[in-house]
Amino acid sequence: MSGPILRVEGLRKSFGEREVLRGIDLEVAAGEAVVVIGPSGCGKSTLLRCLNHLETPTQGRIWLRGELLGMREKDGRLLPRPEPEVDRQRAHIGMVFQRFNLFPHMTALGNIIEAPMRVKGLSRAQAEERGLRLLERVGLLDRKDEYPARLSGGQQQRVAIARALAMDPEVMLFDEPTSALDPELADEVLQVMQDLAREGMTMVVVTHEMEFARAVAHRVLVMEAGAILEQGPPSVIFTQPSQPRTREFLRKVLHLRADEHA
Amino acid sequence: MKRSGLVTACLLLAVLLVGPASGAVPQASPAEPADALARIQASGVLRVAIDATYPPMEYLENGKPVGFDVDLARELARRLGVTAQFIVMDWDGILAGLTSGRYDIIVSSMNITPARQQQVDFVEYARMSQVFVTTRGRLIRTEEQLAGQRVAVQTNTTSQRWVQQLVQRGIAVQEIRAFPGATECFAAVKSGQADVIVIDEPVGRFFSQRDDHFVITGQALEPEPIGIAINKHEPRLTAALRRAFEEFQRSGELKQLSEQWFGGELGQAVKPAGFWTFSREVVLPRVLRGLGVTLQLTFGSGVLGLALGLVVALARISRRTEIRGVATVYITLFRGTPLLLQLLFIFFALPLMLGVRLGPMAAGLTALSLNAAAYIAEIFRAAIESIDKGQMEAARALGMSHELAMRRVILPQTFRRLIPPLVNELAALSKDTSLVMVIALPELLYETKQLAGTWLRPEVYGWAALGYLIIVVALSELARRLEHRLEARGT
Repeated sequence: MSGPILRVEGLRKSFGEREVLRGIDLEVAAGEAVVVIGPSGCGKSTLLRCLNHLETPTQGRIWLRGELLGMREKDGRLLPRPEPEVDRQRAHIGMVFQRFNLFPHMTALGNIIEAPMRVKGLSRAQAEERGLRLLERVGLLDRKDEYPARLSGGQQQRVAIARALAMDPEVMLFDEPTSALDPELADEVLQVMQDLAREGMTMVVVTHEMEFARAVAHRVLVMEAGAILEQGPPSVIFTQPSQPRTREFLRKVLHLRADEHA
Repeated sequence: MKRSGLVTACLLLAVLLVGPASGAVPQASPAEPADALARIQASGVLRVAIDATYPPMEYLENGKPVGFDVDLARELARRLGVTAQFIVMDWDGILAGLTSGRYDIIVSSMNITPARQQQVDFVEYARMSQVFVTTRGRLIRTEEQLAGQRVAVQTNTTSQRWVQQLVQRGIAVQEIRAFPGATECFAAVKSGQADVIVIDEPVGRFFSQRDDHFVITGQALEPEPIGIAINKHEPRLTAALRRAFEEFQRSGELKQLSEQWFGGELGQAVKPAGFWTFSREVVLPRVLRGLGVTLQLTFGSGVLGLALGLVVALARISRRTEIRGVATVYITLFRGTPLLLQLLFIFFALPLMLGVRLGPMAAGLTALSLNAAAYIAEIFRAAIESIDKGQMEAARALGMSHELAMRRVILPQTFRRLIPPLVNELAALSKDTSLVMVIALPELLYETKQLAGTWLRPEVYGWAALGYLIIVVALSELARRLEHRLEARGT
């Protein structure tokens, strides 16, 4: 493997006066599962949304497989890329949202085949064949003709994962995929994600699920106030974090989770 | 005498505003040859405007213009070696239509007043006096006896001005009720909304002979002149018409024509048949024809308005500032001014401004579509903005372009939310079509109004109401079914 799949350098993002990301550097290797944790408002969702240019960074560069994302360099200056090219780049990055965002006017299968047909130009037959395999993989083959309104939250999120996978992404971004779900529904989603990681999908996951982080992550990244506080393998971060603020944060979340399970 | 005073204020305003605003564009369309007479003789047609609500001077019978003025205009045209073509206009717009070049002359019992002489030239052809018409059993012989009465007059007429002067002279008229047409004056007295009508003599006579209800009980003043209106700076046309008229008078034919229309056999006391026969033979054919025009207007401007509205809505939420700006100005302009003004503007002012002369149907469709599009754009925009932002993000994250996401993801979701407000808008539109009667497009209300006036049978308004109800109810039913189907689909 030559170099990282995803490389971030000096990423900054401000909304008006408020600086949400204050210089992020990050590399994600192929097949790596990175879990981002941190208190709410620390900028982890914004980081994820910058990674596929749903938000335009204020400063800094992002490369996907060595190609500058959302911008191009001309005579040493950074210029925005033409929009069709950014659309093409985005197609290589899958994203799963906290609120699923399935298209309510399409069936489960319809949701999955839409982008492969319209963006990649697959025939309906090809897209459906692939879509059905993906639905089987997330355990929802029998619900292929249901509209989202008739699926549970967990089922909707699994369809959303299949929808993102249908574009054959090089990397998958998960933005708090289980926060809107009851614990028992969250588990079926986490199970699908765990399988994905095991199969070698490159993933960046923003989550509060510490169990998941511990079990699946190759690397845990702790963010605070728009910067990376520390990072390392879960075994280190969860047992002997170097930063007192990490310890503080973990104590709070783990305590909360313990309460919930009690 | 009929019809003095001002053209409707808003119309005048429209025309006046246009002059300075357009700057470079001169009064007459530059494409036309300077001399109207030469052009008329070249085309073989003399275009004559009439306000066909004024029997026996000019009115419609079986949809064809008839009356004293109509016959006179035909004779004069013949003497110029051309044929007369009649254009039916609303009284309030009739002068503006002449100055904007829609027709060559007006022969419509127009009173010659100093104010009008500022705008156009006249060839006098008759003198008329005012009469008092009231219901049988009342007696109003003199001006003084108008005291304490509710007096019906037509707006912007000499009659109105004359009654106002009576009031200034101290005659205590209880109330002046000014109606847009002569026929409404008679309907008002018949239904007890007014006591007496002051109106031009021939018209008063016509109605009192057609309907037993009315009698002429008195007469006022000296007769005042009426004339053919011709645009200024057309000395050859004016002279030719004057010559033709003098010939017509000298040969004794004018006298003959006067007798024919104002003499004994006038009106012939046509007694309308019973309700059903009258409705079937007289009312329904015209109501149906009017309904056809109304449907054309509603459907045409509905479809155009929807298409344009969608475009404007998309422009309104465009990411490009200048496109957004254009859409905002458009919406502000068309929602911020009355549809009636837009209609008059397109019909009367555009010919002067840009040389764009639209016929009544085209002008009506244009005004209605442009106006509806402004409202529909806002309906579309509200619906688009009501869709969760996550939908657009999810679509973009899959690599879809903004345009593709809009078309495949966002717009289809708006359909069901759009139906109720759009039906509302289209229902309003179907009724707004009635405004085109001001540019004399014979839609449902226009036809009904003419019928009600000519026959003095206000019950025909009921048919118009029924027509509009059918359109709106059909629309709602269509919408209900569509909504039902979309619901079944699960959106």
